[in-house]
Amino acid sequence: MSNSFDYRFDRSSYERPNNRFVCGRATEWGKPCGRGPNGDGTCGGTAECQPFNRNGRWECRRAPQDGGPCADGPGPDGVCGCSTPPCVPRRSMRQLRWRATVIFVGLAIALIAVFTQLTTSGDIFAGSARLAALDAGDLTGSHAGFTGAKGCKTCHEAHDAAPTGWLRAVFGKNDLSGQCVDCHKFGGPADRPHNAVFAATASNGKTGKKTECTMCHTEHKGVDADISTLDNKQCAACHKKSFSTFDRGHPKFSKQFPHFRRTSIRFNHASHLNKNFLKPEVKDKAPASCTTCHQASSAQRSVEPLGFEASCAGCHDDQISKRNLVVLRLPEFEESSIDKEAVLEACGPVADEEEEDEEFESVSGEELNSVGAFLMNVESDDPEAYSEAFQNLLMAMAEEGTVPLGGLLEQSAETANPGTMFAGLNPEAVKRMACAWARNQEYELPAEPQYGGWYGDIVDLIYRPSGHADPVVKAWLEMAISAKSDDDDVTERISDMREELLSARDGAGACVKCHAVTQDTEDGPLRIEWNYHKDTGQSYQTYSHGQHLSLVNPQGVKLADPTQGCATCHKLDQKADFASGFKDFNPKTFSSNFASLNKQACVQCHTEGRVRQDCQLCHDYHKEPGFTDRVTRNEN
Amino acid sequence: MATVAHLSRPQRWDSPYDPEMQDSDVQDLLTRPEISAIDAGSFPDSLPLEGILKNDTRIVRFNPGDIVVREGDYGNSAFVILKGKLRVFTGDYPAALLGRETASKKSLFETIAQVWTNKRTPEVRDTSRYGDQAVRASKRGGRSRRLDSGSSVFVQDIPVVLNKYKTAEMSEGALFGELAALGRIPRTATIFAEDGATLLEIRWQGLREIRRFDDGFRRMIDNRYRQNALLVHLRETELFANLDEEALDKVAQATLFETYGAFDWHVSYQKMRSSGQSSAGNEPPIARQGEYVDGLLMIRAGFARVAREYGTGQRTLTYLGAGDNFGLEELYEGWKAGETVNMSSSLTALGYVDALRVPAQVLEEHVFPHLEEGLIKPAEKTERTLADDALLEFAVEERFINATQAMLIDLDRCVRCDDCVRACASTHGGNPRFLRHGKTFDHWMVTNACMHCTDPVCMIGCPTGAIHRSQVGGSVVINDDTCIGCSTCATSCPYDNIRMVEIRSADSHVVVDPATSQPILKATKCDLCYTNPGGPACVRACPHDALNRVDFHFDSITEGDL
Amino acid sequence: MAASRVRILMIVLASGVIFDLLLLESENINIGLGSAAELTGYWLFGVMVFLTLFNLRKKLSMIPLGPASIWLALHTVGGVLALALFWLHTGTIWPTGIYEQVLVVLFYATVASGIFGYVAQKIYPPRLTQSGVEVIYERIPDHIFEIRDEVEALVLQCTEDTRVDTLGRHYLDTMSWFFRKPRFFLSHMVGSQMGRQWVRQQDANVRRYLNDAEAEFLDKMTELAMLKNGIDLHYALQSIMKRWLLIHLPLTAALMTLSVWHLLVVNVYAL
Repeated sequence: MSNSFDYRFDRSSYERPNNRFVCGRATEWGKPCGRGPNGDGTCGGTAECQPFNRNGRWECRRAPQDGGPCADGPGPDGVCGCSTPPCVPRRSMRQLRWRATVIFVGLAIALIAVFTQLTTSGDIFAGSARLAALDAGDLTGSHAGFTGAKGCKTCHEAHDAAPTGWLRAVFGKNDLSGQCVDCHKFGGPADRPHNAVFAATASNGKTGKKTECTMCHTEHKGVDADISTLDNKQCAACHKKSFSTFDRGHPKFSKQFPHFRRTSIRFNHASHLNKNFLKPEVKDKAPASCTTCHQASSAQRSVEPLGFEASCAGCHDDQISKRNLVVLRLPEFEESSIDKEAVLEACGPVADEEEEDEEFESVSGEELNSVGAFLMNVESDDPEAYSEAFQNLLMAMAEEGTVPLGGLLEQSAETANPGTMFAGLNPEAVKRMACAWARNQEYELPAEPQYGGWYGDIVDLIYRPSGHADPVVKAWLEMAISAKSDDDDVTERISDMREELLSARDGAGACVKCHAVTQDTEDGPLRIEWNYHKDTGQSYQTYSHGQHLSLVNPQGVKLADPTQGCATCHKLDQKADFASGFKDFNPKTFSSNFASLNKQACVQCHTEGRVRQDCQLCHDYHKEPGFTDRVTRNEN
Repeated sequence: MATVAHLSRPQRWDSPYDPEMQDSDVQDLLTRPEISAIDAGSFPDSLPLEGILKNDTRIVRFNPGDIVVREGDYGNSAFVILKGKLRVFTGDYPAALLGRETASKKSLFETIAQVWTNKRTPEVRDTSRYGDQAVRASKRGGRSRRLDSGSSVFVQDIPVVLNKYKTAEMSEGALFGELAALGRIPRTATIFAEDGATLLEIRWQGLREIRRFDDGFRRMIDNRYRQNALLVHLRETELFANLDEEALDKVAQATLFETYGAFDWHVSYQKMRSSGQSSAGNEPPIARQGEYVDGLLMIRAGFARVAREYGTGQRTLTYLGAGDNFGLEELYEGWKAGETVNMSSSLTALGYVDALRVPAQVLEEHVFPHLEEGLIKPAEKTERTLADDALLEFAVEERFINATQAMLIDLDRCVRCDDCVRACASTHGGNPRFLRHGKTFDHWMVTNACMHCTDPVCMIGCPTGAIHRSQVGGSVVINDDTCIGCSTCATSCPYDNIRMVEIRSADSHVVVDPATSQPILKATKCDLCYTNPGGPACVRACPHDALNRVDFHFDSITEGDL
Repeated sequence: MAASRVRILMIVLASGVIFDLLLLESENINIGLGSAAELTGYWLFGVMVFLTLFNLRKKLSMIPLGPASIWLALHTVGGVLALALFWLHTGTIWPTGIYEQVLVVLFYATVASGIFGYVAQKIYPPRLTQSGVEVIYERIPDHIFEIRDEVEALVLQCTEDTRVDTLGRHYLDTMSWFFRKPRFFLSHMVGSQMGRQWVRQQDANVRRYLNDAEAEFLDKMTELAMLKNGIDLHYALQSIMKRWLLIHLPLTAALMTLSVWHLLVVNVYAL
């Protein structure tokens, strides 16, 4: 059937698909004329031929494909008889397509133009202007609330700018992060990783790089969007040890975690838990559980022990006053240069007068103590060196009481405060003691001192600590720690003094028995660690003991039960040589009482399908995030 | 249309082969023995011999070394040597010698410029090109007495060439080139001038007229064909490759020259189809199935159908074209087995067949003994259903076998978007050169676009030679400047692939002949985009790979291919 | 494998490679706390611009710029790539912000219309071939007019010859509606045979009232009606294959306009 249509060249002429017009009759399903529309869109088929005048007769010249010459021929005036009324040519589909395209593009441009204008005035977050052509989505609630006055310009400087401003913004970089710090501030620079400038090591080449707030925090995600919760992968941008989850692949906790230096207080958990607490005499004083000494319920990272009074005083309180501080010791004199007359004048008459011109026999056979040697800046074992100074001191003390002592102190130690260090020293008692020693007699106490304080005893000027944190002893120990001199001899005396005062066994007040003496840097100053040392080195790591308590119930278990309570994670290391850590001043050389924490304990719960294990759970990114004054003053 | 443009309608001899041809030249020619042998009296008054000589011939001078004809070129004229010596290569020679001339393709800029130069108005022509004297400004055709082929390639160092390559001499009075001119086939040899030569060039319309009216001339032409072309053809045939000169000569002597059907086969073919008859019963038989095989048939030109009896009908096995053999396998097998064989199938002429018959005896005596083993393979027996052969039957019936560039559209892929037509229009000034309709077979459509036939019957009868084969590629093209719109080619084309169009002037008015008030027509057809870089635009424009230009003989058309 | 299949495979592979590379690179950038949306956005825009070049290529068919079939393959696969890149760029199927939502609606509409056009152009041509008729779209009014003319002549002839107007009345009452213009558009569009069924039914409806002489005329009329039904099929399917671009191209133009504006705004406000 398909071959019945006529393909002959005189019946079928070319089809021209590029024609812009289509015969109007064809669109109405009539017979389209053979001529087709003209190029300008007018009907081309009104007349079917152009009649030709041959010798006075008009002849039809219709084309063969339209049927050849018509039967009737043209009219007598030469007008084609086969005329038809003109059709209305319709545009071809291509033309319609072009028009539709132009209209769509025009519409798009017009709409953009109109809606762009809607943002230039008024609050863009009000009413109808929601349809702004620039609206990129809602801001989070907290940001939306304060950007009202300046609108988009709060963060986007190029908003509202002239076209040249836009052009500049296209080719320049937009500093959005710079706007964030108008309100947000941190414990360090905002444009550095972790808000800190770390020392560069081989593995962390990225510390020098600058960061932008927009790298992690993006806005315009809706009113309730959470823009501060991040993906683990974002942390892995710099922390290159890639791993999928905490339970799988998170690096092992470092070998010593969480004990990176020795404790400030020399409390040996092992010996106490295994031995001391079990002694029958302290049975009623021994703590029942870890939380008796460590307050854990509201603790975050550190679970500090309660102070000495609550934790230690029960057993150790009486030890303190047993260790006296000997400030002065009457040494052996070979001869006395003390003027008896002066003594008589200063101290008054006394019952037993020694006969004159008898050979001098020193009442004391001792050496000068190290403190005294330091104070008077003399050798402690050389009577020739110290006799005169000491005897002068005696005279001065006999006359003036405590003043000369203060003077000596100020001379030898610049930072010493005599007021504190000799607090409570009774001048009268000092005089009496000095007089006795000046007469070459022992000083006898009227009565045994009970509560501590200054007293002279036989040949010693002694301070007895009144209890824990005695300020006088503390001051004397501080002075001993901080004293220094360029002179070799003096340095030697200082070290002697230190040795005596800071001895763990015999030191004054037994302070150093428990409080560590630490030198933070090599060749740096020493210090006594009076307080519990809180590890601040890891300021980006968070852990809340309190939240985990319900899981381990420290109250209800026996102390040192290795399977429950605090011991779930903090396991006592029986073999650790705890004491060795305190033999030197270096806090980093130590053995902790407790085994390092390892991941295993955490992974029991923080694992696939159980509890959260994303990076942000335990690690903070920002250092001390806060707000600037602008926010609190509500300058917006 | 209120106003029309006017132009004189050119007559056929208004564009003579050489406008400078003088009457005196004609008289000189008439005195020559080759020309005077023609009986001037047998020519009608409307077409006198003098007229033919004046308008359809020209005298051309060649310098030593100039190449007159190149082997492979499509030529439309024959030559008679008036003076001088020419040489023809009879053996191999380097192709570089020929320096083929190329048709002028558009430059890159011209190609791109079509974007804005293509017109919206249909068929706009620059009528100033036509003029009254209808002199073509193109390089083709006589402008002066000197053949200006546009290329300056000529044979250098003639003595060396003569020594090195086998050549034959051609001297005064020799006629050559008629084979190409009349047979519409490429030149068969390369001929160059040994010394300065003067030639009479007769364009084929003139040759045709002379052959038509003068018996002696016709016989001479035919005999010459036997003597010259036959040997060359035999030499080129693989079958006779191993023969020496003597044997070849014997074969040539024994060969018979046969023609079947009519030269103008398309006329009868069209009559037959329009009366509804199928062609099968109306084809002149060449050989019949079952008859004794008395010789090898070598097809020289035209097409023949190979068929076998099938029930009450004839089933086509294949068709043969120029260069194909018929009966070779039967003869060879028969000779090997020592028995006589009969034809296994019949051969009929599809319109027009030019054949050579080499007698069986000659083959058995001279050819078969020297043949390489395996050169002749017995025909493979494959089982094919009627459905398998349907496409072949269709192609033969519709004579699409003639095609070298049939436009085949796969209707299962074609989305009817007309991109191909638009592309065709874009390379022709906004005018498409084909129509997207045509005879269909299953899901294939053979579109009405010129197929650039092996045997282009459209070229028969063109009064001005406007329709010709281009120099390169052999596509059949129409020279718009010389076309007079007589519609002969359009009427001749058996496939309705040529269309006449009314031309318009630049102001979009139809150009009309003032004498008859008829619009001026020009013939148009697909020209394979021969002046455009990139080849046919239609093929590369189809987004669905639906359109292809195929040769039915060589391209396999099965499901999934193409 | 056919050359076209190999070609498509190559293009799909190339697109797959491009997409994977961009996916990996954007992951890298995200992990490095950069803005992957910038990279994927520009690539998306680039691919979209490349897709629009197809229309330009069709207009420049006189310049040898490569076969249109390769361009179509690149366009189709590129379209899918653009969709994938779109989702990679936005990270979501439905973004926030009115402007972005309008943009995404246009994008999805363009892609959907493209897919519709691709599917239609794959399914319809075999149906056209199988109708048994082949017509040029612009000549359909011509064909319909001629068929109508012939049918009306037939009916008149029948009335004249047989002196009975049964067929004529049936034509005026019912059949003339059918022959006036192409019918059963939607039915042809979805591939239903409703047209043929209707013609058959109408033939059966009137046949019982006709004698043999009239029945001959009815046979011819039904034959012409079936031919017209084939032409109707061509009209419907060819219309769709031509008209879908009336949707696809304007949408594309609007989409590109809005995309350019989006590019501008993002550069001004965020980058």
